[in-house]
Amino acid sequence: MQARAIIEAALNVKAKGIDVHPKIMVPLIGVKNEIQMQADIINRVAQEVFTERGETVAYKVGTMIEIPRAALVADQIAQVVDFFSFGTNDLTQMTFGYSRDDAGKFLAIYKNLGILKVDPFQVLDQEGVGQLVEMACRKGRATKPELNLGICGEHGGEPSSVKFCARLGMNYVSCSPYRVPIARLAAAQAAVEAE
Amino acid sequence: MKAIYTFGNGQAEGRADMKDLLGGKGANLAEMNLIGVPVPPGFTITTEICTLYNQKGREAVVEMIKDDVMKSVAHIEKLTGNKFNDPSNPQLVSVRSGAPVSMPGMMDTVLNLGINDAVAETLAQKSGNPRFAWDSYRRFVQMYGDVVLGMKPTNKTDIDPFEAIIEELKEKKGVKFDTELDVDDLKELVKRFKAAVKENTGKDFPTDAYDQLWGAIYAVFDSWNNDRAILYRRMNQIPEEYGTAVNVQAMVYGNMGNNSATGVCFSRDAGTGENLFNGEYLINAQGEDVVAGVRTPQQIMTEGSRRWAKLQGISEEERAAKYPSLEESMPECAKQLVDIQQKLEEHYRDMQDMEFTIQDGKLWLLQTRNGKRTGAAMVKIAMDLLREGAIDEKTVIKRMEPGKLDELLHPVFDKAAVKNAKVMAKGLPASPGAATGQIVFFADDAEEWASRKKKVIMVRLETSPEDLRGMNVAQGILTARGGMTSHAAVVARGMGKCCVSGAGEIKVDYKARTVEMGGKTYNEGDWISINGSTGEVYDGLVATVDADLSGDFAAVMSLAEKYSKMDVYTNADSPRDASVARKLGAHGIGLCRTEHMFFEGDRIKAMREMIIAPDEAARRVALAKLLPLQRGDFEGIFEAMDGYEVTIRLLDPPLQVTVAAVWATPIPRSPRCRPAQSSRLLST
Repeated sequence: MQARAIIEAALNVKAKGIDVHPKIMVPLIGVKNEIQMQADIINRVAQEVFTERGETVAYKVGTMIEIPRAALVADQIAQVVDFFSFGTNDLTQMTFGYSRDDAGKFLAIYKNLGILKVDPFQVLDQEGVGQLVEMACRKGRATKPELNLGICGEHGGEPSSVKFCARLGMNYVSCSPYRVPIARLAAAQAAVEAE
Repeated sequence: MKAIYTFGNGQAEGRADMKDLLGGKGANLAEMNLIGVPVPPGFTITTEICTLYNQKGREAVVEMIKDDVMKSVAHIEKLTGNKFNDPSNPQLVSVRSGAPVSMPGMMDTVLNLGINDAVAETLAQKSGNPRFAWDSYRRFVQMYGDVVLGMKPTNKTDIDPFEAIIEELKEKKGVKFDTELDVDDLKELVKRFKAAVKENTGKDFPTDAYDQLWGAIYAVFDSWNNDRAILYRRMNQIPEEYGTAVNVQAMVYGNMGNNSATGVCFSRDAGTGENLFNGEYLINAQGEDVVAGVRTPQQIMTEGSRRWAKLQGISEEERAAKYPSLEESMPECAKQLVDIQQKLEEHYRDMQDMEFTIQDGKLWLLQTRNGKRTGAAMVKIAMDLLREGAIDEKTVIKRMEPGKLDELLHPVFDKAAVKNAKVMAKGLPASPGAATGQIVFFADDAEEWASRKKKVIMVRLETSPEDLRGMNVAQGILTARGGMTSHAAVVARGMGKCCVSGAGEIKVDYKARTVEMGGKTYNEGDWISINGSTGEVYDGLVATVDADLSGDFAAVMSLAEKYSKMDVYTNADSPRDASVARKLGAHGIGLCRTEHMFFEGDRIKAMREMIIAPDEAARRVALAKLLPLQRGDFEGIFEAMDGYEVTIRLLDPPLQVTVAAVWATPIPRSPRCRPAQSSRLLST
């Protein structure tokens, strides 16, 4: 239903003269066959709509990388998709084994004791979670050099995390609207600092 | 290893780029000497010595640097013609810490070190100003007792034992200001201070100048490892091996009479960024007097003085008579200071924060550093410097602290208003901004009140998806539970809505429709204000001002655009969010969540049908009802993002949360283990 709604909506606005670029993103993928099956359904539905309407629109199918297993087998998953979007909230949660909803209770204690320097849900843990992100980028692009890479967790608006993404050569970071200027500036700083 | 770097009389062994070794203060004192700014002579013990002190202990380090310290003291003596530890011709010094990065928690300043009874008598005779001599002496005992001997209270609300003695004496004499105490009073203070030290530490106050000096040096090094400093380093990720330097400098006296003064100044306005030299000073004063708030500091420039008087409601006659500017009271020194601040700003190519002292009509600079500033000032100063040709575009980008831009995006509290506001509670600064409104507890009330053009603040224990509509129309959100990634915090940030979360001390009673905080019970409809940038909750209405996104802010953003190699998209679930983000420079949507779309109006019914559908056929019937609604949602977002990519995430909530939201039944939330089928349900 959602794939159909997206493609139909894209065709409708295209008819109005809107320049539309839909990307369909499947969450919570950990196994290649999982995303393969979903991508097949999406592509089939899209073709159905195109046939019904006698009109087409370009679209992309991708997956979130938010389960550690997905990062580990990113080379396989990249065979199926056009883009990766790192869901670093869940990736952090599952890599640390912290429940995001309960972490508030003990993160402050962990910080006071010096176990953690910062809240990993605010500042991307480059040492640990960052390795998974780096590996997935590397493996993904080894399979498919033109693979589009981005991040859409809360970290997308946090300056040090944005700079990390820039260093990994991601295409974009995505963050809540009011953090966009912060991310833009951090991205520019990463570029200037790299010179 | 060179342990000590000297400076004075236009020469210096150090330089501005030696901050790691000399600390920020020491490096800049050296640099000021080199560029011809008048600085009292002195020397800097390096940060490496601090590290050795902490590794090898006090004795080993004293053995190592003893001769160098004696030689460096002789360097000061040679330039001033006085003698340290010599009552016939005494030289006093100041001792200050200085780490490579600014570090609150470190030992502060000790002034007038080297004084004792005999020295005070000589100073009184030589200067012909006994009040100056004994005022310096009592200040020294107080500072040394506080910072070196550890008598400064650690609790903010406790009273400094020395201040208590001063207050006692002033009360007895029936006077208001320190300056009204006479020589005998000051002598009495010195006596009582020393007695307090003896009582507190069990030891006599040190009278030998070298004992005093070593005590102060140890105290600086020891302060590197006090609890506050360790905590600050940990929080700001400052390496422990940095260490702090120690700066020892010949004293210049701002308390030598009415031709002497001390002050602090900024080459530009640190609040607004306006290119206006400004600062405050006090005649016949020393050190902390200007910021201590005992006497009313006066403005350095006449223009600033007039602005200040206007805000204070003071007439021009009264201002000129009682609070003249430095330009008016000491025109020669003021002119010199204006030249020096300009020279320093041109040299460092950034706004400078400076400390100075005037001794008997002669101006001395004691410190300069890049000034701390607000987000607005950060942007304006950098762009002004670019236009003036002082810095290039890349430097503008490097100078920005990205997080500070936040301050420019949201409505902000009027500074004067917030100063007078009463803080009732404190939570996490979950989503920046300023909000003021009437308390409501439920989403439907929020909507209903808002439809009657009322400004509301939603106060909740915590929020959930069914509160979205209420949050959307509220000015701000205050929750008792939840952290920086709680539902309320994440959603509020997305909406650009002010939010304070996790204010644990507030007591919310949904049934009685009351919230209790700061010892006061608020009813539905009562006014409060919340500060999403600080986490503070204020009583009643606090005035706000709107953010301005044009001008220098836009200019900085277009520079960022020019140099950035990575794109920035936004997370947006509605056409409104999408167009806000576009205005702020987003080049696409990286995450459009579809969960929220199912909780609106009639959709919940179709959602319920779908979830409880016994078989695929029934599920498809329910889904068919949702299709046109979803299609409409997407069309709106595509239109708002004309020309850009829109990434739509297929449905992805934990099923139990969806069910809970759809039926509004409280279901205990287990740590997220999300059934992946939920997404498959809908993509079929």
